[in-house]
Amino acid sequence: MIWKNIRQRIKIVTNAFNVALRYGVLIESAVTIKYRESITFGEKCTLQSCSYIYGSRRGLPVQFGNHVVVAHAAMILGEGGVEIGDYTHLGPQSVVTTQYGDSQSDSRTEAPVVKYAKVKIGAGCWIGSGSVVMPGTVLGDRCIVAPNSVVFGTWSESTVLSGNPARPRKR
Amino acid sequence: MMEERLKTVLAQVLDIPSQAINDETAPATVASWDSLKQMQIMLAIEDEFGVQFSDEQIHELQSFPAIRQALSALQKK
Repeated sequence: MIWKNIRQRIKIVTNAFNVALRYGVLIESAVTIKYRESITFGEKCTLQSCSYIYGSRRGLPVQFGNHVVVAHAAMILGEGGVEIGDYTHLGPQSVVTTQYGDSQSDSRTEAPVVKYAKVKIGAGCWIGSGSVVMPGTVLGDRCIVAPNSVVFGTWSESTVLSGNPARPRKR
Repeated sequence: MMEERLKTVLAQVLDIPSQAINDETAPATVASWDSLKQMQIMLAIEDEFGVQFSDEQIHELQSFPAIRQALSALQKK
């Protein structure tokens, strides 16, 4: 078990090292990058400490634009595919998820059916700390999400969203 | 008119043709209508019609007739 954990840790560190070398991404300590093959970064992105980037095992693209900041302990679960535009900032402990469990669609199985939906976040967006961007969400450019919001649905550019579920506050 | 707009919103979110939406349209009859779509439908309707559903309504309005009825009630207010 301990050897498995050590191997996994070495793999993660190697992934991070390769990303830093290949894309010029600033990577702080304890960043986890899994399924790197599906992930691409633009120029001068920053992955702050303890952030967790999970690519897509199915090879769906997880794309970061230029100058994207993923703040401390933010998590991106990219199995369903993710697109993040230039200069977008994901706040500390925010979560972008592309997967959800549906326990009601199939009564024959005990385990929830896991479903996936792509998330697209435009350029210049600001995702407040602790917010969750749910599967299937599409945010236009320059959207702002208040801290601790839970975002669903499709929103046009410059929308300010807050709450759970997040609703627009002004345009 | 309102019904047509409502059908268009549902059709877009559920990714089905708007002609296929009738009084039988509900999670049990539309495979793509799951809990995530439910949230997306309600928020898309709020955005389209400029109304706001209560937290209970967001989870309870799970059929086309129920949504239509609640929406007309909100619009009369």
